[in-house]
Parts: sequence; structure tokens; C-alpha cells
Amino acid sequence: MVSDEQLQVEKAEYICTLTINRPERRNALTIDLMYRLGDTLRALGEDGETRVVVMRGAGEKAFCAGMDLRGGMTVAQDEMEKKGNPLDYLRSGIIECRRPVIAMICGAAVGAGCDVAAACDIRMAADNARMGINPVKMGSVYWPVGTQSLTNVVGRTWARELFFTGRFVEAAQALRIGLVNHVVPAAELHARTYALAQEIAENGPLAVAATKAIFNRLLERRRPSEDDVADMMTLVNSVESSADRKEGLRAFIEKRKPDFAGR
Amino acid sequence: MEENVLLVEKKDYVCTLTINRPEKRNALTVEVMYRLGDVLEELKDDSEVRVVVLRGAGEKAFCAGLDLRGGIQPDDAEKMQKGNPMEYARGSVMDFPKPTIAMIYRNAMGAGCDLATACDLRVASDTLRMGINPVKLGSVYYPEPIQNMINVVGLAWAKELFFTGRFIDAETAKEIGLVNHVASEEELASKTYELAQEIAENGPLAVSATKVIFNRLMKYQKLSPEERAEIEALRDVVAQSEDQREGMIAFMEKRKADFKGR
Repeated sequence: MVSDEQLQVEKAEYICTLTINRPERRNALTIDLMYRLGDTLRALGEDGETRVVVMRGAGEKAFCAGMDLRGGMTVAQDEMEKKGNPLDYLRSGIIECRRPVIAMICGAAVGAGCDVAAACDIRMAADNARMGINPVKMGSVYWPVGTQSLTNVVGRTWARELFFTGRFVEAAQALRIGLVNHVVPAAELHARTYALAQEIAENGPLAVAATKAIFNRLLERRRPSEDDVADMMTLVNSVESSADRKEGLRAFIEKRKPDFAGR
Repeated sequence: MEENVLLVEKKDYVCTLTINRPEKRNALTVEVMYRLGDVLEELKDDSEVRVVVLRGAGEKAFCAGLDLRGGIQPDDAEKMQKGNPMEYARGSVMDFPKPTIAMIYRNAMGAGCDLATACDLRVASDTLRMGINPVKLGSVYYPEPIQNMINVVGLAWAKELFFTGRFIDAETAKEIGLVNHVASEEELASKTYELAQEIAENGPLAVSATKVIFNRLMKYQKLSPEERAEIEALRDVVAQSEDQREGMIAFMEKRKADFKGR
């Protein structure tokens, strides 16, 4: 559980802060970073000095702007084999972490960044927050488990609108639909987040951990089965290999609207 | 069993159940909880009742929580038959085949909040304080009311409420959907009975069938006996912890608890 350049780990008064530290890339997640975060969260569950985890991004521009697949292809193959899909590994690390995890969101939380924030237990956002998951705009499908976890947060009506439009929502809208618990002025984000973390840290840590375990148990039945996930991944992969997907990527690179043909 | 801990009045198809222990801020004794379940059982098939309003007596509280030592203690046979009193009361409210409205005057805390959340609709006074705070005492609440809270306010706010143990005011409760309506203390009753009346004027078979549909749709959320046992084991570990003792002692000594995580 060591801090490195990309991930800072700081502990003070029972609160552990995990900072994604790649402000120059708007804190986009490399594969390596997702594994480090997943490992750290798993270790923090057993750490008696940590009662609440705060996840944040460095700088003012973004909590996390998504995935940065260029940034970290150096990951060892055996780590991939052991830990599986890196985003799934990170998301399950947050969900299964015994301690409550609070996302402190300044600026963009989009794509995988929105997914990660939605997996946290509580979200505190600055008034400049923008959130959403937009792969459909590029002719691509998002992953089923992330789709489920966001649906658990905002309900199926809004989850569908978000995933079908690929729209990013502003802070006020995010608050209305329950995607974030609180919206505060950017200047107060830090103080308000840590006041909330402190409020939880003062409660009985065993009781809080058991309460989180109950939440997880109650939600377990809403998780798709392995067979369902396999079915959905087949569907995802068929879209990934479509002509539309290629057109979507090309249009994105050429900064124009894609012309989808539906095949 | 004395009748007067729970008042039952029927008028214009609306039946009002009043928890009548104002001197104890309507805290729930075992007797009140069993009685509430029994009365709802009787009202199930009563065609003169289309809507139930649940409220507390007096000016201080809807219900301030549990009072397990107060009131008349039921005999062992009744305990055996009805099981955990809070589960019996909550289950009766949830399974009741007609709409239930909680009319919340000021405080709905702990088991009071639990009971209000088990009702279908909630109308509260603007002086509301509502929440469930066992984590502050190092203790864990029960899974069913946590599920109810998720269903009512959504996952994120349910977590914030149960992790912080905070009591929230009327404005926040309205904002997050924990209560349907807020009214001044003077207007609370008229607003509540207007809503009850509005429902009572609809086709009672249709309304009742609609409630049964809601209940069926939620049925998959009920825990299996294995899952329940697993959660109970988890709760037992916390119940036997040093933190739980410290929480109780701190509460009685009116100081902040110093939790160690063991």
C-alpha cells in the first residue's frame, strides 16, 4: 500500500484518501493504476486505522476522465490473468471494500470515471461536476456490471436515458436524479467531503462495516449471474466488431459526427 | 391486554391507528407492536376500511423509537407465536393489503423511522426529525428496514443515512423522497386526511390490487433463510464487540463514544 506518482495514499484520523494523480491526463485511468487502486482498496478493508475512504482526482479539472489505454500497456500478462479486467477489479474493490468509500468529485467524472464514482457508496460533487458514460456516441457498448451499478444508484428510468443518450449531466441535474448525494461550491468541496467522512468515522467502525455488508448482501440479487454476464459480453463483442464501431472511432478521431449504418 | 396503547378510529373509510403513549414520545413497547400487528390483521378484510393512517398521540413525536422495558409484557406463548415484535409490526404494515399513510408529527427516530418507512406514504410536519442511528452507538440495524430505505430513497442516500446515523430535517427528507409531503404542524392533519380521502374515493378493489402488485414486485427482495442467518451472524459479531459496549456506556454517560474497531 505505497504511494507512487500515479496514486497517492494518505491517512489521517481514520480517513484514508486515495488520489488519482495524473492531472495532466485529467486523471484518466491506466490499466496499471486500476490494478493499484483495486489492490489498495482490498488492503484498506483490513486496515484498523482506516474507517472511511475518500477517492478523488488531483487538480481541479477532473475526478477522472475515463480510461487511458495508451498510458499503461506495460502491465504483466500474469497480473491480467490473475486479476481479470482491470476496471472490474477496481470497481469490485470499491464495492467490496469493508469501509464506506466516498467519491469527491471536482470537474469531470466521465466514462470509467463516472462508473468508478457510481460504485462508491456516497458521492459529493462540486458545482462544476460533469458526469456520464458515452460509449454509444462512438458506436460502442458499455460493460454490463458498470451498467448495473449505475442503475442501482439512479434507478432504471434515468439509467436508460443516460446510457441511451450518452449525455453528460451537469451537477444540478446529477443531484436531481440522485447520481450524487450533494452538490457544493467547488471551494467548499474538500471541507464538506471531509466533514461527512468525519461524521462516519466517529461511528462504530464494526457497525458501519457490517451495515455496508448488509447493503451489499441486499443488492447481490440485483447482480447479473455469470451466465447473464457471459451472454451480455457476447453481445458487447458483436458490437465491438461491427462496422459502426469502426465508423464511430474514425468520426471521433476526425472530430465529426459519425454516420451509423446499423451494421 | 389494555386497548388504550393503540387507539383505533374509523371514519369515512379511513381508519386511524394512534400510538398512544405521548408521555414516552410514543416509543414502541412490545405490547404496542403486537397490538399494531393484531389490529391490522383484523382490518385486512374490513370493507369499511380502505386506507389506514398511522400516527402518534400528543405534540412531541410520531414515535421516538423502542421502549422494550415499558408497558405490559406479553406472555411467552404470545412471544413464541408472533416472534420478534418489531418484525411482526413492520411485516403487518408492509403486508397490509391496503394503503397505509404515516402522519409524522415531529420525531420519527429509530424504530419510529423504521415503521414510518414501512408505510406506503409519508406526510410530515415541517418540524420533522427523522433517522435511524444505531451506528452512533456502535450497533447495526436490521436488513429489512435497510431494504425499505433503499426502496424509498435510493441506494446513495440510504447509505448516507445508515453510515452517518444522522437525523435529517423536513427539507432534506422531502428532497431525498423520504417523505412525500411536508406541511406545517397546524396543517399536517388536514393534508394527511385529504390524501387519505383522495385514495379512499378510488375503487377499493383496484387500489388494494395495486398495493398487492407493488408487494409482489418487491418480493424478490426478501432474504432467504440462509441469507438472513448470514446477516444475523454478522450482526452478532458486532453485538458482542467492545465497541458496542462502549457505545452504550457513552450514550448513558452522555459523551461521545471512543470506538476502537474491535
